[in-house]
Amino acid sequence: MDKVTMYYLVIGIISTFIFSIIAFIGGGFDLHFLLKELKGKKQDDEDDGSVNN
Amino acid sequence: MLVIDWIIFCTVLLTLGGVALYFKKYVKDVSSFAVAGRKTRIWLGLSNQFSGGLGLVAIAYVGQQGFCHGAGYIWIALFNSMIGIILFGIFGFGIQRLRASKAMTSGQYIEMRYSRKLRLVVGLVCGIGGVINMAVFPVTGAKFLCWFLGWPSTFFMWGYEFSTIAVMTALMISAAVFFAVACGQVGVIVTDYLQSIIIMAGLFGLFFIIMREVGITNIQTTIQEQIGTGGFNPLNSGKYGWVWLLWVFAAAIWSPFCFGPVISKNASATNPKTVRVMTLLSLIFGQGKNMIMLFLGLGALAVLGHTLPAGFDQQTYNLAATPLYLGQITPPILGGLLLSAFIAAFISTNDSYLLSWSVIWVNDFICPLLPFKLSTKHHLFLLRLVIILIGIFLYFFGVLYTIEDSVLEFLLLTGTMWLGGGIAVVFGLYWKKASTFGAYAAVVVTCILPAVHLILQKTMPSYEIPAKIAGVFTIATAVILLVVISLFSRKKTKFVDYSSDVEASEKKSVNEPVSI
Repeated sequence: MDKVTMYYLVIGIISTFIFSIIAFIGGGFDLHFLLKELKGKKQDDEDDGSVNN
Repeated sequence: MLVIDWIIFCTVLLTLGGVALYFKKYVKDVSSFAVAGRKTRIWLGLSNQFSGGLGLVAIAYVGQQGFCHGAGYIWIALFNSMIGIILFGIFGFGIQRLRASKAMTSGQYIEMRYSRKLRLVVGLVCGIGGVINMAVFPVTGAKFLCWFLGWPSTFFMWGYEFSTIAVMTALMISAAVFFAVACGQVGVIVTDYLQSIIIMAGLFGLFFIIMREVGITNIQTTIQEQIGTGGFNPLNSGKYGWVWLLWVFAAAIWSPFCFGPVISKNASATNPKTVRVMTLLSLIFGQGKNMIMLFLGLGALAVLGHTLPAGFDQQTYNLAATPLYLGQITPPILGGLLLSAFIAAFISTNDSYLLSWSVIWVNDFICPLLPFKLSTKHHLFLLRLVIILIGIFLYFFGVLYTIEDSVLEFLLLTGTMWLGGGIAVVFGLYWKKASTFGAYAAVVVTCILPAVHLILQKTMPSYEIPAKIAGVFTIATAVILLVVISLFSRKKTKFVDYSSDVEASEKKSVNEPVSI
């Protein structure tokens, strides 16, 4: 159990390190799309969290 | 800390502040401010979830778990994630239907499904519970930074003595309030993305330093010597055990439906499928995030050990050991990066929390009480004002209140207070018979029982019921009451089945916007 725990710990951290690099690159592209979408977005007074019964 | 470290720190902070101010122009309406216009795609949302869950208080408390109880916590985190991966990541249980309902908050869905009065109750309970829950963040974060920097507890200025922690708390809350007020969810998402890069760079830097200086074998031997088998197997530890696991498991099922920051992030996603995939990836790779934080505490355990140094009581030292150790091992230049990472970790969590709790206070409690509909301009003003008021409350509560249990247990217990809202949302999404009275019962019970526990713990020295038993008992009682009362109710409910909307989004591309 002790060895398994320690191996799992180190492998988990290293795989997250690799994944976070991929996520940051993908996030950069998504950021570009978000800004493009928000630039073209018109003011929406209806979607304000209220419920119209 | 050298001058170069402070230059790095100031540059990072000023850049983030500049970015936040730049994105202010994109806040045009309430949906932009609260849920980024529902335009968040998968990777950006993922970065946002990553940094949101990697706050300074999380580093402090997971580090504390590692220092006190060894590596067993990673199995609890894994167990917790496995449930989330299956329920939410694979089946999209509840989270997809909630996104399909287009509700910004759990309160909004509760008004759609049950009643406006229940929305008021849930708004009040979630608002109070959420703010009290996060009240521990700033002061814990400030203590963490003071220990990391090796600063004294007080300092003199203009002939007066000031508490370093109180001043740090005020500065850190002001920074988080600034980010939330300046640009809402749009800016929070953008700055969280940048902050998550800084946080991960700092934490991975620390991981490699600890690996080089201490090594995995040393850490393993120390855990065996100082903690024993309980340091690897949580079920052998007197601290955790089955009841603790059950509490964490029960909280994990209901919290995505009532925990403001998670709901805001899910509501920001482009469609229900994006929510599911984002959650799946976040849960799989969020494991590593917990492991790094735990690893910092394990490094502290291996080097400092459990021997109590002068000037500390046991409870304080448990929390202080990790930052004290990190302060010792951090080399110049990485110190500046790491301080920036810690501040970024604090801001990224707190600004999104401040934002989501203010949305809950305003949308679920204040607006339903008003006899008129607020204009967009006044609505945005009110949201910003509430963020500032929450910031002021956080300062005074955090500085004046002393936590009796460990930080993690305090968070779980106060987190239990709003779970009733989550229970009502899930039953409302799936069960046609779930009634308003049943939902009321669940909300009231989860609010009252944890509060009673905290009050008794503070006032009665003979009171010995552990937080984990109080937590499990509260959740079980709420579910049973909702089911039993709903079964006896004969009133027609306002149930809407969102399964077809969810299926439609599953057939589309993961980031394709849908007009649900």
